[in-house]
Amino acid sequence: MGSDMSWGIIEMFLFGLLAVMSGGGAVGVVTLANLVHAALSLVVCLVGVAGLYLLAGADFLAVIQLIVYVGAIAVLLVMGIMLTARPEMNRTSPANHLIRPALLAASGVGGGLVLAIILLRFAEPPVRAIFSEVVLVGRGLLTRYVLHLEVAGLLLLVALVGIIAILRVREIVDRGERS
Amino acid sequence: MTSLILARGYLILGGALMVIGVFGFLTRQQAIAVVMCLELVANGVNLMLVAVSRLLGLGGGTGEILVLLVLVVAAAETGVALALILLLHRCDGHTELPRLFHLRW
Repeated sequence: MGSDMSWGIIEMFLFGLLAVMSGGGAVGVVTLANLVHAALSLVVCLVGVAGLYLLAGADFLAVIQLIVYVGAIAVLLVMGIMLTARPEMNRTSPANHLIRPALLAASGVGGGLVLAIILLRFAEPPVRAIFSEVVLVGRGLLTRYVLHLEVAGLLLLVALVGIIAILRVREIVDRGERS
Repeated sequence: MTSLILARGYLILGGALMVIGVFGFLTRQQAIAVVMCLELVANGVNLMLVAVSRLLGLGGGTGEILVLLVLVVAAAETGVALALILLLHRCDGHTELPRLFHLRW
């Protein structure tokens, strides 16, 4: 019982640490004028979320988060920043003139979420995290959710072909004008 | 996730990430920053999905599978968005959304 208690306190402390990490990273993404700094802030936020997955017992998701988000998407975003960077980019204000309507919209979304969190009834003792659900995830993806998996794969294929098509539009247009 | 308070903490943090992402999505001027804010929204949603699957006691890895599918959609969306931004940079020489007058109407 005593060890349960101290684990609860440690868990609370870790949750607070990771929440500050991911929340601070998110605020940095929105407020930092320098795009590279914003991308690094996003990485901090994503690592914090991966830690939260680990704390919630979803260890498989934590690893996937690190590989896909921190490893691939963050690098992709930084590459995009480098390819489109211009020297005067960092001197412009990060925010446009829509701050007040945006605050209104964001508080609307937040109010709806808070209402949903308060109103939802949950199973009173939350399910204790079962460590390592990899087996369950793998079995679920190949049996009950196999159609979802196939659709996700198809979406990725279409996105890949679409990206190549988008980036070749200019070449095709140029060639058409020349001939 | 030992206590109910902590489980709701996950929900609130996910909601906070989502709200911050929505605010940034509406206010940032650089197109790439807008894509980053979309990532924030997707992460908030994923965190909430994990918390809700724990709170509702959905077994069988349902929450994890949902999160994986959201991740796939977010990755595809990021790829397409970055391709569009690169094309924009090639055509206009900048990626600032308020200066895209020819995209209105």
